[in-house]
Amino acid sequence: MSFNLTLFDNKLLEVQAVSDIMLCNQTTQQYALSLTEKQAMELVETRTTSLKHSGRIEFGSGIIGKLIAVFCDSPHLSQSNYERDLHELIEIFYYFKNETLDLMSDDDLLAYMKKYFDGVCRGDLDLLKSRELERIARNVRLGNDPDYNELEEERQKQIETEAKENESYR
Amino acid sequence: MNPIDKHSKIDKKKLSNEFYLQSLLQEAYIQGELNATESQRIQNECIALLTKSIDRYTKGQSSSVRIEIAQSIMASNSYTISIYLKSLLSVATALDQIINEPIEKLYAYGHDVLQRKFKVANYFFHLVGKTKISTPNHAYNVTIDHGLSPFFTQYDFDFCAHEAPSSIDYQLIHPVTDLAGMEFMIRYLENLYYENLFCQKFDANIIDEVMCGYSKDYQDLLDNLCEQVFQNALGCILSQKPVQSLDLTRSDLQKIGNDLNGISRQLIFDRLQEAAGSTFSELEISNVSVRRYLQSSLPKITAKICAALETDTLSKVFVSRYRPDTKSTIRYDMGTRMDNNSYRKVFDEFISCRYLEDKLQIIKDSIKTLADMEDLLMAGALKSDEAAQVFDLLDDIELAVLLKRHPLNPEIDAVEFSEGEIRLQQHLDQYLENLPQQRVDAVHELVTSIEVI
Repeated sequence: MSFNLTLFDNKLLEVQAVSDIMLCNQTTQQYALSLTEKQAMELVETRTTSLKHSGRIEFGSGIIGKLIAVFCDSPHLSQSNYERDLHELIEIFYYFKNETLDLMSDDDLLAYMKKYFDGVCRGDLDLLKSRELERIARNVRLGNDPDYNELEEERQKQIETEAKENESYR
Repeated sequence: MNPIDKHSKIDKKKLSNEFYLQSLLQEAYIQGELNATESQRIQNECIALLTKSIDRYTKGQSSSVRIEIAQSIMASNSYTISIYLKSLLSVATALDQIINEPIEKLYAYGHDVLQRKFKVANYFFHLVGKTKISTPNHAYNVTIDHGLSPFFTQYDFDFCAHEAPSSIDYQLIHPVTDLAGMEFMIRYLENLYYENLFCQKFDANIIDEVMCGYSKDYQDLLDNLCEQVFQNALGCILSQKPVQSLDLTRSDLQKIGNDLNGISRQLIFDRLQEAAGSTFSELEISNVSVRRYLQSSLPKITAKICAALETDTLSKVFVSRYRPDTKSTIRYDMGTRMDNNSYRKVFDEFISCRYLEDKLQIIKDSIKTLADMEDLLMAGALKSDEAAQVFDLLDDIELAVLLKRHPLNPEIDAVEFSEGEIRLQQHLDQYLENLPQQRVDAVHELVTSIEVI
């Protein structure tokens, strides 16, 4: 016998979340990005679905406001892909909260997402999800530094070895 | 407190001990003592409390958690509130508090009660350690020495109050089934302490022998020690023997069987209650809690005895002491059998004798070993009275050897043994029945300590 959390009526929280998202427009307007109320509601719906799929529960207005605040200055976001990318970023966020076994705080995960989204992925969400964040999650699970890149390290070693060999030929 | 106690329609028996808050809300709603608005307010406050707890759990670093974690924290919060509500005088007071006080306040009160209960658990833990008996039973030792201590270092008041981090293998007479977390631990420790207090009244070696009588491998079993000790103590009272010996012979069991056979279950229960009272007096047990604890196991023991009387297995309820170290001190050699030709000659002569006196003379003259005697008794087709005269020629030790090799097992005789073997078993059994009790006891004593080679 226990309180069934899924029965909890979170309509009030959803309204709160929509209003929080609308407030974000004030900040994002300087980057020529904005969301309508309908789009905000759809984002909240995506959040609800993502939480359900990842077996998580969230109280309060949630992560969307923070996500917008972190990503709004990205050079790879424009009004045309803004809403679509936010939907995907929400899904990716909750997925990797689980994959990192909750060992990473919200702020840290968002910071890494932003770093690679703007960096090597150049705004490509598939690359971000299936390459960079997968690697980060694996590193976190193994207790390594999240940025640790085995392939990159090997490539670096190979380049150094080749350089040494070239020098010895001379 | 209110000057006039309120009365509630809620039946206390319907409330769950483990999920008190939930069951109280449910019952109150059913009985109409809680309306939909109040119910909704309580639920919302519980969610608000959960939100705060989760924020503390994630240290404000994560806005979401996995559902299992949220459910566990919710269960922990409900448990803490329940602990406070259960500490109140009545269900009506508890309900009054739920309706009129903020849930967060009840949670804080519950937290304080838990802190106090933790001290109680610690107190009982130390008492259990102090009264621990010396026994080779692994589950008992490992539970007290290592299994309980994690609770006192790992118990989580904030997020897992409803769980008891421990590794408990040892089973009590009364298993703790309807409690969780702190309450479970206190009840377990309390019960274990009472059992220890009772067992402390007996010599550890005697308990060891009783338990060896129960099962030679009891060291590795998960069975309770106190229960068997208490049963044997009752058996001693029933057979008018000193309780502290805990020793019951076969004749004692026969006496108990004769006394209890044919009487109703209620009468058996009454007899056991009287015996329990005498046990406590004889052992000078004045602790009311220990008395009550053990007395509450009497219905279970009554049921066991009734079943044992029906199946003639009273020796499983009241066991005889068994001394593993003295077990092999007597090694009896059955001797070498005579060769087949000589045996046939003796046997033909034995079987052709008309008078028993002649038969006995043949035995005296020609049978030199117990192995040959056994063969002759099985093949000789003697009548019961004839066999008795042959047994008269034997010493106690020889009777014990025969009894050990040929115990009466009516339930398996038909399939397991030959006609001759069954006849020997029956003759031996009849013969022992007619012997003086003292001699029968001596023979049975030898049976338990003899090893036939």
